Amino acid sequence: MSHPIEKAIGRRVRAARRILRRRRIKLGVATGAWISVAGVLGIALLSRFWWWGPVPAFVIAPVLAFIPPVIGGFLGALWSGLSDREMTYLLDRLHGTDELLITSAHVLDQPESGAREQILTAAVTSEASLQPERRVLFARWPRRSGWIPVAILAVLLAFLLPTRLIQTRLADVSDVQEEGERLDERLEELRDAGVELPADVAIDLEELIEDMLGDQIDELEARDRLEELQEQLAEAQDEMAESEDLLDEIEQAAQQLAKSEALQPLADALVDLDMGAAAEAASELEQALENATPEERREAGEALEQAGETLSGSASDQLSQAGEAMERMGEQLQDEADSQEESGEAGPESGSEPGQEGTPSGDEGSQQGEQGSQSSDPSGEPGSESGEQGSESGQQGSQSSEQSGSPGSQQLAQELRRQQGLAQQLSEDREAMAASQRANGAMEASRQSMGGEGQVAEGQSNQQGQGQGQGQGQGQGDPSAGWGTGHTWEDQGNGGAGPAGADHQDAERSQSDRTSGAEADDFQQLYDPLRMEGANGLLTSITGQIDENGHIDTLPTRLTGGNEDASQPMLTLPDQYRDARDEALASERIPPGYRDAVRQYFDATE
Amino acid sequence: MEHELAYFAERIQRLRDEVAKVLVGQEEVVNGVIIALVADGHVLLEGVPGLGKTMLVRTLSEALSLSYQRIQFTPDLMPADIIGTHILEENESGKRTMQFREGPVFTQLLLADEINRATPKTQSAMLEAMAERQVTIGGKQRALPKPFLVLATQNPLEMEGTYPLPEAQLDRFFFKVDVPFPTLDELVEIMARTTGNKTQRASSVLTPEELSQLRRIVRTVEIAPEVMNYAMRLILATHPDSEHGTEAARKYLRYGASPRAAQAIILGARAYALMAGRTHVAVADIRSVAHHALRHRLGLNFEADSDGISADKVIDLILDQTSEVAPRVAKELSAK
Repeated sequence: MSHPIEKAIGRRVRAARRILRRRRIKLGVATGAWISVAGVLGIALLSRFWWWGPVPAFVIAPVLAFIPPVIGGFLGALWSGLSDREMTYLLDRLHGTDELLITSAHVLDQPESGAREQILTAAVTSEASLQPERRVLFARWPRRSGWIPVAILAVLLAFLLPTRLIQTRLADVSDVQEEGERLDERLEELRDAGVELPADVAIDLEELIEDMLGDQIDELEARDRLEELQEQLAEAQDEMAESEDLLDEIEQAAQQLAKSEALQPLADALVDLDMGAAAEAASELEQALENATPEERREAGEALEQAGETLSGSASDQLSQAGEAMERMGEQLQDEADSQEESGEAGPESGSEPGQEGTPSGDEGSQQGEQGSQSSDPSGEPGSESGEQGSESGQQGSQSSEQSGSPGSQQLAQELRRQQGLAQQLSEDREAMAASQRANGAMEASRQSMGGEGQVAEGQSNQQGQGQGQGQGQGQGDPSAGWGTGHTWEDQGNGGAGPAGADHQDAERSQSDRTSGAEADDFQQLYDPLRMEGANGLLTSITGQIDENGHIDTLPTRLTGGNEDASQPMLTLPDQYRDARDEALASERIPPGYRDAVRQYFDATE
Repeated sequence: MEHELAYFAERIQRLRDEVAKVLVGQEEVVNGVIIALVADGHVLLEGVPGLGKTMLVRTLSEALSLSYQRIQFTPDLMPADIIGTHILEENESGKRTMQFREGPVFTQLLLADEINRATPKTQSAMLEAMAERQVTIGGKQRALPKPFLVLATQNPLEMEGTYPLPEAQLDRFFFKVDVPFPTLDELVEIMARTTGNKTQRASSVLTPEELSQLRRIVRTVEIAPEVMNYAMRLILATHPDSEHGTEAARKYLRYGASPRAAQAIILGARAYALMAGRTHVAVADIRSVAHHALRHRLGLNFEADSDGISADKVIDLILDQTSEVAPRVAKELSAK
């Protein structure tokens, strides 16, 4: 039978043990909370520079933050605590009983002790007057636990700092391997289209794709390496800047020539950089103008003169000489137009109506030949002699166009023929630039898909990479305006299949892109609301591109029912668009590879 | 046990009262001496002359009905002067025989006044008497009367011509009690009592048998293992080379307290607990007797001397630096 003091001590020990266990739990929770704070703070700061996971840091952090306190509290609950003797001694110290309780516990095991009863009796008396344990022992939170809320606030502030975290949240961050497959597909398409990259870039790109497919690099490294390759492409393009200028000049000259219908073959040949065809067109110019009115001849002369001025100012000597020849030819045509007008005024009999009496072209050629010999012969041979020569050339005119041409046209043809080497080089450079553009677009799309600038930006990359001749650019953000504008995927489809110059490959590419999951999701997300019934008046917003600071501007707008009248007649728009196109083509620096695509796109809007 | 406690308290109180009739103040000194008395230990009283050390001893002898001897230690004092010697005596028949003449050590209460003035040879004559309660003369051991109590005094000021007690001698003193200078009120009272015609004398209030009974009661006082553990950690804390040695011990001590010090602390604490009305020892009792039991057993080093650190100051530091409870319990207490 146990002594009353033994029961009393046991009861107090249990009460104290419960309090200590609560204290341990709090200690464990507080320690775990500190660990959580440190860990979450580390995650927050880490997310400022680098984040690897598809799940945003601010989602992971709270989840992880709960784990250490829970574990700490659990371990605290498991704490075995002090032994009964130690607890008794603790009670002695807490109650200030001068070690009476511990001595009582001691003498309970010492039956032979002389002072046993005396001590136990004193202990019973003393114990009855002791306060409950909860009054002397407290399960307080550990010291400095009060700083935990401050630390949590610091962590929250760290999350509020401008961060790539937002980008991570918005971007459909795909796995590097998956993105490597996409990039490989894009480059395969480019290869199928005959696009050839610079050898060093191609090798590096192959290695990068291999690493991405092997999942040997993370997103950050993949993006960095893509960026380096893009820089290499940009450097290669810079090296072709002179060729680009020459192409611009040739194209401008071609535009000026195209003002005259008779010069259209020559303009087309120049645009195609086919100097053989251009020389032939020049040789046949006299023949093309055989039945031309003086006005048409003058118009052609002016066009030639303008184009010649454009080319004569070129940095290329060869091109400059061709331009001078073109100018001379233009002057000659204008002189002829003047002469033609004068002869027309002098009498109808002296003129020859083209085809009026079935006159062969040789007669016309004789006249041209006569005029040409006169103008080109500074010695001023007698007219009869010239007339004979003209007759001869007129007779041969139907046999050979060159022989039938004037010396000016022959000289122009000769100069144009001399440009074949240059044209070949320019043609190759143009193809290389186009290839670089398209490869750059493919890499930009991959780079941005890997947490770079989000889905909207990916649309932009499509435009950059596939814009030539496709007319399917989309999502070109306007940072200054703060919201994005662009064409829908339906526009892209039309562009690919329509008359905007899209070839078969473009149509196929449009189709493959259309089936791309991410972009299709974009389409659904962006345009489904417009198809909702009763959507008229609903408030929504247009999300723009993400800027450097990770912010995205949105433009509040209200949905329409879709049956409203257009604010402007549609028929007036194509002309306005084409005027704007011409103005832009003339004034802006546009890559040669895009010029045709832009021109053809707006032509197709008619 | 309950009546024994009352008996002890009553007897001790009577002894105190009797001493107080003669001796003014010095309660701490009186308590220390009484504790040593009931714990069967010798006391070294240290104080300047004229503080009543001799009077205290004489009063105690009167109150306790004990035989009393006083030895004034001087440099020319010989061991035989203390323990006795054989002398040649002629009996009535004219036969001469060697007879042993007991020295002053053969008494129940011995006052060794200014013990540090005797030579080490003479001082060591007290070793056996104090430790064994016997003396050996001429190869024959002679027991000293019971109870046997040595109360020695020494003057801390006059060090010239003195022989500091060796460690072995000091260790045999149960307590070393410092006798402080009286307070103003005590001085007034002393003058009132000693400069008049009336002289106070102590009467016997305690027989030697009763003293033996008190000593037996003291040894029945319980001490819990945790408290005992604290006392032993305190002893080890005085050792500079011990893993339990405190920082103060390592800094100021050459050597620490001996096991006799531990015995003195435990026995002294038991007596102190009884005098406090308890039948068990508390940590506070240990701390209360620590100075008396340790101050003469600690070897101060040069650094302590140069810093003017006394043994009492070192003991204070050691007490502060030694946890009263086990580390696990102390941890919970600190987080209370």
